Amino acid sequence: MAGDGEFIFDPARMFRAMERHGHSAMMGFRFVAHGHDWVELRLPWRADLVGDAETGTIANGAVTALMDMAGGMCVWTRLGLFRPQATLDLRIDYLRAAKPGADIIGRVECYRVAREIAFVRGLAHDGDAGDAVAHMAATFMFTGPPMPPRGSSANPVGGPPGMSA
Amino acid sequence: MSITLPPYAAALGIIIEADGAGEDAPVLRMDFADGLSGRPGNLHGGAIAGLLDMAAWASMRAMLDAGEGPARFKPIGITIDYLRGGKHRPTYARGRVTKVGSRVATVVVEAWQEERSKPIAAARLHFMLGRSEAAES
Repeated sequence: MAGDGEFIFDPARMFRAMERHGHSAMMGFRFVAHGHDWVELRLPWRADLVGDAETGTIANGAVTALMDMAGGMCVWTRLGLFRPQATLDLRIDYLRAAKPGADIIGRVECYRVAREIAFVRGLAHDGDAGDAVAHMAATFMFTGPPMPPRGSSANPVGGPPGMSA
Repeated sequence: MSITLPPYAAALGIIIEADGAGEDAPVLRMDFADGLSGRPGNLHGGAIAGLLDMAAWASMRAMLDAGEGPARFKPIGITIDYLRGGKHRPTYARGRVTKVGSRVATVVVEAWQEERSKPIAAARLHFMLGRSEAAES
């Protein structure tokens, strides 16, 4: 369990490992902030992430990827530890078009963790948090038991919670 | 018919595997790359979402290019079901426009790897249709 007193899951720290690998690295996701049950990430605008060459706005699929990533991380943040999981379903409502050339900021909160499933919801905006571009709701299914923090008494050898690196 | 995918498709390595014949939607293909990986051994859900989104977009584009439909469309929402973990191999996706109304079109799309009958993900999208800028909000 977390609450060893020696380590509390730190999404910023985990993200520093994640952002160098895989899809996070390719997309260029950046960690912004977190609370006890939410995580905020940024997707910096890039020409190759554009979904409509005419307008220059970031692709909807890229916004979805950002929200999926923030969603998974906010579950671990609320749990206070890493537990392997997979997205079960994810819904995005596109509230309005993002501004051309704008970064996208996504904040997702985990509002319920059940035995097998975690429930999250979030908003994405392009500069004004009060004027969202997309709303997201998703569920994640746990695929294994919680993994105690590396270096804790329950995991002294430093097993994998290091991350999907 | 041939459609041009947006820049984001190229970033994900998505190509048109098979142009649709007639009104059939094209099949898109996304080969595995390190930049698409999520948890160990699996494709990232976000990359799968990108492929589904592109396949849905391509099915709309192909349908509208083939007929006299409205020239413009924009997504209202997408609901994705992740059915199986995506592995480190090529992934395919194809959308199907199931309804075109006067204002809204509905698309269902599936992504699969080795077997078409075992999709790794499926999604449903609604698109707002517009014949001109005036229809855009």
